[in-house]
Amino acid sequence: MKKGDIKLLITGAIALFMACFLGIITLIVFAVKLGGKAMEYDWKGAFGNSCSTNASIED
Amino acid sequence: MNKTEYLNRLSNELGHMPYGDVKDIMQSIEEHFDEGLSEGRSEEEIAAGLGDPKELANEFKDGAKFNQIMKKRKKVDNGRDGTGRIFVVVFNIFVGVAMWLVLLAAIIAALCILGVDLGIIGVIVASIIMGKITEFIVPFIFLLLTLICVAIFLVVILILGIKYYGKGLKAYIRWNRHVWNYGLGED
Repeated sequence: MKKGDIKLLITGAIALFMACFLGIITLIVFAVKLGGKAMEYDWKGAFGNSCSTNASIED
Repeated sequence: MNKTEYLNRLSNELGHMPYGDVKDIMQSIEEHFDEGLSEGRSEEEIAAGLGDPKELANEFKDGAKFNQIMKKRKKVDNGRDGTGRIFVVVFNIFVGVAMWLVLLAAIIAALCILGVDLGIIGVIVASIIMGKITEFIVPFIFLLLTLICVAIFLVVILILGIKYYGKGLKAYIRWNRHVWNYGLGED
């Protein structure tokens, strides 16, 4: 293996490591953001409406 | 092919080797021709015994010495039982061809994944520039960086993969020819 190939291989290894590292951070950041959104979401209102709609249909 | 033609072709094939080595090789071959002629063989017969000049030149390029090559040639002349040829055919049907096709498929797959990766990078960059992504900008920037790292990794893998695929395939073909011509068990 030539020196240039070894350098290229090291670059690839660093890129793979960075991809894994950043991938995990991306997942965490997405989870945090979506979690925040979920907390803000009006679940009661959403389900409350649908429940009352169902109830009115049954009536 | 007579002696002069054979020597000319061999000399052309040896072109990239150091001058001293080429000179020694040419001298050995000339001596071999002279010996053969003194034994009553024709130039054409001796040339045929030496085999294809290109193949002979490749063996010299691989570092083989003239005596080793002639030993092999004698072995081939003395008894080619065909097991090497059977091995080459069977090995290629069940392992060789499939192995190289799988590696080729892996390279093509990596190329496709790289294309998709670059496509997604393009879409994210365009969306950020056009202001389509506002709320989730931080996660998307991290996603972008991840995809860039994946792209770099794939480019490296493809460069090395294609390079060594070519080299490996050449060596494999040479090994097949060697086994085909000289059989198994002897280097």
